[in-house]
Amino acid sequence: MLVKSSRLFYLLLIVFVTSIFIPKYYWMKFEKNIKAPAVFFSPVIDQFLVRKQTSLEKFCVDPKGKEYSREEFETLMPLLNYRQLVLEDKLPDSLHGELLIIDKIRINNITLKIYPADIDLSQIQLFPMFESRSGRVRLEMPDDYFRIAKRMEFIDCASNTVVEKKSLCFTTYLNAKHFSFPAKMIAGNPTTKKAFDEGYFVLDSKNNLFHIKMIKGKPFCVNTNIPNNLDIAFMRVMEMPLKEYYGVIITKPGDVYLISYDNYKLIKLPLTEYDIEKDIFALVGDQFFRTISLISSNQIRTIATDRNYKIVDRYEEMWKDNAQSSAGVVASYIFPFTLKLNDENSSFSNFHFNFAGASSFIGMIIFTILTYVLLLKRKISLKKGWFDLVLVLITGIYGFIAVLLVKNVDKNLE
Amino acid sequence: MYSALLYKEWLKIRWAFFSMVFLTMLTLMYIALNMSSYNEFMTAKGFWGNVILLGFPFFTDIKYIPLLIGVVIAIVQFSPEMNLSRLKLTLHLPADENKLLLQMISLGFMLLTILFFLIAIILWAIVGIYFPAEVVAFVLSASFPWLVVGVASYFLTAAIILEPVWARRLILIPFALGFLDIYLSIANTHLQLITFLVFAAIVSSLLILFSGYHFKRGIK
Repeated sequence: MLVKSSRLFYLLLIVFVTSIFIPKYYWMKFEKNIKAPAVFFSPVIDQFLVRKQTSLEKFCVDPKGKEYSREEFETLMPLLNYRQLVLEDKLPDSLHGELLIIDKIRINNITLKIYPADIDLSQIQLFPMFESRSGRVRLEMPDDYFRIAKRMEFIDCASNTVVEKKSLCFTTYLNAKHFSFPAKMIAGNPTTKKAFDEGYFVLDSKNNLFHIKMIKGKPFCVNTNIPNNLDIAFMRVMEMPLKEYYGVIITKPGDVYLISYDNYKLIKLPLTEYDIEKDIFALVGDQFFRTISLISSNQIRTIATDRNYKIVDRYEEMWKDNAQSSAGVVASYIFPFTLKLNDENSSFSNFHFNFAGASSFIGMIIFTILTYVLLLKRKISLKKGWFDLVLVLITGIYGFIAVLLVKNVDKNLE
Repeated sequence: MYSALLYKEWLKIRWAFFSMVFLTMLTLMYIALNMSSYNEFMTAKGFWGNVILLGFPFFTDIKYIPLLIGVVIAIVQFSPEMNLSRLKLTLHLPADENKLLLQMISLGFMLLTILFFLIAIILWAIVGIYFPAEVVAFVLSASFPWLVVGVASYFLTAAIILEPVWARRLILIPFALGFLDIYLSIANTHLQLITFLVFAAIVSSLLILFSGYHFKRGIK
């Protein structure tokens, strides 16, 4: 009995290992680097421009199929390419009735890209609290990091001990503002490479969102009064000289909100069917328009909006991803499932199963028949070999490899 | 008889075990020295920033040590048994062969568990000198699969050595390598995956019985 379970474990080990490595090596050979097209919205012709080709002559196309060279693209996207146009002395004086001033262009050019792995991120829950009004040009790293558990605690880096006075001061202040400990989520932009500091947005245990920062050594804490039923999955804070919004909130159902500087009023972006586990979110803005894209492995959905986030145009395109390529079709017949422990859409290792669907049944049945023949050859009766057959029926090629390589236990010898 | 068997096994592996303890201590000391040097030259807040905000992996020197320990202990314990087929004597003792084999590897398993537990505690202590609990927890959870792989590498190496036929060894080796590689290639592991992998490492002790079965019966 023990020897039989030993063999059984051996079979399962081979299935486990092959279901990870065989598809991995298969795709190392056959996976193509399929790049999503880049979609722009030209403020000159008020039209989308789609960049797929890499050649300079056919640099991009508009939705009607007209091709543009790189020089044409740059003049159609003058705000994105203002530095090149200034160099060539081609920057227009005005656009949409507004004067084009370089400083204004620069401040208004914004980009924001959020990957699924950013949302499903593992992070050590300690953060530096910057002095947001130090009177210095550059931000400086503080000497301590904070945590928000039963209270707000600052831990001094050099001595690795809690700074009591500062901790007490912040905790008392947060209590006075009705912050309910502990924090569920803390989002900030902990880098000194930014123009100024807006501190942190912190979700308390009752799902109220607070804005916390430090001004001249004193705590600053405001309840943003953002509705506590949003079901927030992710927040990103980014200080931008434009000062239009503090950052972005992404909810589990896939709604995206910007937290505006206008008393934390939320701006809901007009997006639909955003799958936060698979889609890349990209927002590119200039002086006149915002271009917002959701990019999956085989589709891009882009909207262009005005500065008030009203949709002015839409663009959608689909293409064949690796799963739909001929290598993918072949794989779906051979592999009933593939197992990945590390997935590009998550920063956590876990079981990431990918089931092939109905087409893999053919492969599974063929391998089960082969196993039956193999067992006949080994003179193993169905009564003794049923487990091998069931294993191959469920795991297809992986189970077959296991049964092929590992001989059966002979009852007479056990 | 169990205690006599354990003593015999202990005599075989004690020097290898002490050398492995020594190697482990040297590695941990090296990590501690490195940390003290980073703390001086990056300054404490620079070191914290690198670790907390950028995920600087200052403790990875320990990564392959448990794997190595498992392999070495299995080799010194089981390769003498295969010379001149000495294992046959043990298996002819008036006791169940499966039980005997499991008792033999239980000693290695216990010693490895104690040593790896010690590694975890020392890591905890030295990381705790410079960092708060959040970072200690991160370091321990990141290095936990590296400790578990030591147990799996011990069991699998034992099974590979006891397997009498080279052809079957050559089949077992690549799958064993693939299995061990899994433990070393994961990061930020979800609880369900790490629970599964701990379970799988312990159950991999059963593999030795299949090799033992081939050995005793002389199955070619």
